[in-house]
Order: sequence, then C-alpha cells, then structure tokens
Amino acid sequence: MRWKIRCTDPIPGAQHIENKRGKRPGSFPSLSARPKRCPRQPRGISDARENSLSMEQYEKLYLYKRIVLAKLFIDRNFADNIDVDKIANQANFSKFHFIRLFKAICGKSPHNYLIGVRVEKAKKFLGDGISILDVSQQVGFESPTSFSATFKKMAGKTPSEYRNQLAVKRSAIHTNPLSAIPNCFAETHGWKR
Amino acid sequence: MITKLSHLCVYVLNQDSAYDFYVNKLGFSVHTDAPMGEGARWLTVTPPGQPELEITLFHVAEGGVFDKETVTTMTSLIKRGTFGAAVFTCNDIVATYEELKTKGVVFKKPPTKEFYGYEALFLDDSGNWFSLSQPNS
Repeated sequence: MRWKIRCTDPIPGAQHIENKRGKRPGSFPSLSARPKRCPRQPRGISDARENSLSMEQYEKLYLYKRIVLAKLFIDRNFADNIDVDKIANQANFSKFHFIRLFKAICGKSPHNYLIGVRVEKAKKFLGDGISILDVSQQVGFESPTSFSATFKKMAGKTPSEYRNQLAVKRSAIHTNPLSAIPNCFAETHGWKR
Repeated sequence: MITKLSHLCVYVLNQDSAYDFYVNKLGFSVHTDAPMGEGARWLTVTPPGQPELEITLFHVAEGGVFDKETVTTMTSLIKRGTFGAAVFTCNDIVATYEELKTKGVVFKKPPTKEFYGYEALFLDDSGNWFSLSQPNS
C-alpha cells in the first residue's frame, strides 16, 4: 500500500517522497529497531503549531535517517569497490527506489555523489604529493585513465594541472604569506611588517 | 557600490580542532592554510556551494590588537556561546540535520518551523553558534 504525507505542515522537502508500508528496516545498526508507535513530541521537527508527529511524518524521518546513513556509508567507503547496487543493498532499498529517494533528499544521484566524494578526496591526496597512479587507486577508480577523465570533467582540469597549480599557489604563499591575506586581518594579528 | 562578501571572520579557540569541525563535519573545503611564523596560522575554508567566500578561522591568541585581557575575555565569551557567527542555508534541513547530528555536531535547536522557513541552531567546536535554515520555497 502506498501513502503520501497529507498533513498541513509536512516535513520540509519531503512532500515528493513516497514509501512502501511494511518495508523491512535497514541493515544499519542504529536503524535495526523500528519504532512501534509515534512519539508525542517530534524528534526531528519542532513546530510551534503542531506538537505531535503523525506516524506518516515519523516514517518520513525514518526514511531520511536511512538515506543519510547511506550517504555516510559512501563517505566512509568511497575507496572500495562500491556501486549503487551495493549502497542500495546496504540501506535495504530496492535500487530504483533508493536512487529516487537519494536524489530527492541529497540533490544528486548516489553515483554522482560517490564520484564527487572521490574527486574531492583526490584533490586532497594530490595536494599531499601522492602520485596520480596511487591517488586513482586510493580513491577507488579502476584505472588512472578513467580517473583522469572523470577528474577533468568534475574539476575542469587534469590531475597534473591541478597539482601544478596548487604547487604554484603554495609556493607563492610560502614565499610571501602576507600576499594571501587581506591587510586588515594581517594588522589585527600583528603580522604586518 | 558593494558587490559581495569575500571574507568572513570566525574566532576559534583551537585551529586544529576547528579544521576538523569545518572540513570533516560540515564538509567545507580548505581554501588557504598557511603558516605565518611563531605558531600563527592563516586558515580559511569555503562552504561547498560558495567557493568564493572565505571563512577565516581566526585563532584567539595574543598578538596585534589582542592583548592578554582581550584573549581571556574573548575566550570566555566564545565558550559561553555569546557569538552567533552566520546563517547557512541548505536544500533539505532534515537530511542536513540528521547528517550533522550523526557526525557529532551539537544542536541547540532542532529544525523548527518559522515564518520564513525552517531553522535549526548548531554550535561549532569552540562555542560559536550558527543558524541552519531552509527558506520557504
């Protein structure tokens, strides 16, 4: 049986989310015990006009928690060989239901979010001086070629260009640190010579 | 004519801890992290959707206009939660609230319906409080 929120003050941003009743709880530890009744005071939302949270709203919060934990699962396991199937399975959603919910809540698909996390981590590793080959492996890409292509698509420059530009910027700051700081801040700290 | 805000200053009690909070918990990017000599450090971070706005994480320490008495007073006020530093917006306040809470961010107020949308209040690692809001669409 499908249901939708019908209350006057729904959970923000959740109007477009649906759920199947009776779906088994996710496999994340904190979600193993599903609440049996609706609490009188909302845990996620406080509303001056409405003190109680309907069962439907409470289940929406439950869905949110599962999606958030799936997102955090990606944050922790980006370097492993994970894909949407594995992430959806971890959250105990069907693949397409998971993709739709994730996109509605996080603003991008799970795949795009995973790629974004990998590229951001790659930027950090490149800045730490790790070779492009090692970086591509450490952030979970199958080959340096696919890593470079994805990196360029996301960051607008190749990994080597990014690393070189970062090195130039760091060198300039190292040579003259005050060049990177507005004068007012430097004077406040007594750094101005 | 003023066109935009480029730098925002947040006074913090420990820059290493602030780095961890703003980068690893809030998900901000490091813009500049430069040693300034004698233990001083210029550290700025940027919110994910606003890479041109540098939030400078200023260490409250003696030097420049900060004498010992000022540092003591500032430290006490920050710890007491006197300073509200800024308002951050997000697309989905419940998801963001749940994510940050899971990461250990302390909230003074859960998402609450206000006339302009939904708002929550959270504290950084020093004691500065921020508003997290989802404006009415």
